[in-house]
Amino acid sequence: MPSSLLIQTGLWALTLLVLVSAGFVVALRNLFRAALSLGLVLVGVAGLFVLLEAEFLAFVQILIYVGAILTLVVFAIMLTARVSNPRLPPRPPSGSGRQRMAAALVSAALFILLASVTRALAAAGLQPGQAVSLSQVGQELITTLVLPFELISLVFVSAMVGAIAVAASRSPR
Amino acid sequence: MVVPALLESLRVWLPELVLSLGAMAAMLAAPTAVGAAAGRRAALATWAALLLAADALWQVQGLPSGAYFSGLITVDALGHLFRWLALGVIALVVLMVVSSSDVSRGWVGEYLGLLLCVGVGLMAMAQANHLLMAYLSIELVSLSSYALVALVRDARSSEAALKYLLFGALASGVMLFGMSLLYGMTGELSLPGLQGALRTLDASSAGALALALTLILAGLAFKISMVPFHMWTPDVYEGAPVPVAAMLSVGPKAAGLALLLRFAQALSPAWEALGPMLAVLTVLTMTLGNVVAVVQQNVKRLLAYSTIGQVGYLLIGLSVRTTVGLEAIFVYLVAYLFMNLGAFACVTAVCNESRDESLDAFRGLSRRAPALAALLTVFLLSLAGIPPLLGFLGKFLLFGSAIEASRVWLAVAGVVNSAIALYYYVNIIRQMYLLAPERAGVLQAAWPLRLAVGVCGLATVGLGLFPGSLLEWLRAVAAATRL
Repeated sequence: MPSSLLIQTGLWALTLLVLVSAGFVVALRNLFRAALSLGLVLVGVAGLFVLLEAEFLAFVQILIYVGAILTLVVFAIMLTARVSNPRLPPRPPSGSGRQRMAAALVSAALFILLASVTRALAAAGLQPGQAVSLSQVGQELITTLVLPFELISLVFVSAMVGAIAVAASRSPR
Repeated sequence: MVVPALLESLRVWLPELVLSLGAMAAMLAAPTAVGAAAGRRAALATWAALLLAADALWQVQGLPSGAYFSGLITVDALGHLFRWLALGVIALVVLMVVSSSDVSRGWVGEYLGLLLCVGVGLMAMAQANHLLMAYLSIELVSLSSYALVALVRDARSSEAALKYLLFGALASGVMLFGMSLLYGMTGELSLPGLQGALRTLDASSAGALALALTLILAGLAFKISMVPFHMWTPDVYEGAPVPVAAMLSVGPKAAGLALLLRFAQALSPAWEALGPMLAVLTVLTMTLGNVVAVVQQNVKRLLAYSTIGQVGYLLIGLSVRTTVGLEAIFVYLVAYLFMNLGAFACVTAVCNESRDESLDAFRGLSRRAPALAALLTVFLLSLAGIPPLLGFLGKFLLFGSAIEASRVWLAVAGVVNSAIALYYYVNIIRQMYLLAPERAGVLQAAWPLRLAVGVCGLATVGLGLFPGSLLEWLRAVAAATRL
């Protein structure tokens, strides 16, 4: 079927986009460019969600990650004058090469392990029409999932109060 | 139809509700006054919340056990025990916070509010019956703890908080990965649902299942400072204010163990595969903690490594997985709560006065504060496991459970480690009693600290001599808990 071929091609293209941009996020020295690459990763993942017919998830991904979190990251970088300097930051101190090797080895080992154990799994295979509707999500949030919904607000309050207090306690009065 | 069930559930959750409101009240009360009055108002709100929560928790114990909030939390004897432990930790740490000079006076309201949030998280961890609840409650505890560590204005605290945050985020990510694998395989998030679904899995997913459980274990191991995920502990304790280090050394360890018990119970047949690894890590954890503690000169770092060693003892009970082992964990946790927080309260008193965290600050303490030195001796001997103190009873039961499960080598490792631990605990006692003091004058501790030390001392000695009713209660809890 041509449409399924189209979707397959799209999935592969988006996967490639996500992987390459993720590589840039790690490798680029300039923080600002790394942040923009992160934006590409996030948009790519949203695209994957769209192709997998999880439109709500894609919408949330764009709204929260691209819209809010990436903006915050860029904002933080722009406020930190030294980092937003377009010239490359100084080279990392020597000795980090060995750390990079170790990190790469551990990540590669974990990836191989994950890939080898998950290859054997059979996907449960949801039917396309089984997507959860928005109103259903809303209903769940105020009935069966009301406790985590409220607990998250407590998590946010403590994180926000903590962040503000930490920042304020360090600024000169 | 949903509403009555929710109201019923809310009654069960009343202690946590009161604590959350107390957290808001403490943070809002502080700005209504200036100077010392702000701290007093925040402390007042905190104490009101703690007492009301204790009263609510007492009442809630009469309600029927079972799953509440559509199966998200479970109410049982195990949960009640750990809720009491969480309340006890927070109450004792509040006593330390209000009198520690490490805590900047302008931020007492935030300290107390965040502490109460940690309390809610600890209590929620103990009752989680659903991976989502487990994750959220861990995050509540962690995020509040990061802020509590960072709230001192010096470079060491910033470094500690940053390390804690980065390692903690990584551990959370690893645990989430494990949880997502479990969900992908079974389509279930609730623990009872997982238990059922895991039985129907075929052999092809055994590898993925083992990996998922290992990743979840790794995430929780970080929270309880189990080797090899212990590296953050000494640095964070050293940079954090003493009361916060005290809270971190007991609260998350107890709640993390509760969660581990719940996971072990729900993921039962597959969890057994982790048994040999867990037993090896148990021995490694206690050995590393105790051996490295011997060379420490900073009292906070020493207590951090001692914490790792103590977690190792507690893990014996988890790796034998018998009812006796469970009872031993409970007894040792109660003992550990009092003796460790008591020791930290004494350290707070000494550091308040000397501004010095090295072991030298304890020189000649017996002449400057005889009562404090005597009680610190009691706590340290109890941590070392000397009879007739409560710590001895807990250790005795833990090692006994290993022998009963015919894992004599675990008990042997524990005994050898206790001997090593005795060296560095007694070293502090030697400093206090045999060396001449570095500074003159009587050391007078603030009254909240004296109260905390007194309560802990009374419990460590009294419950050690007359453990009857405590043992009876904990035995009932262990018997009511499925393995």
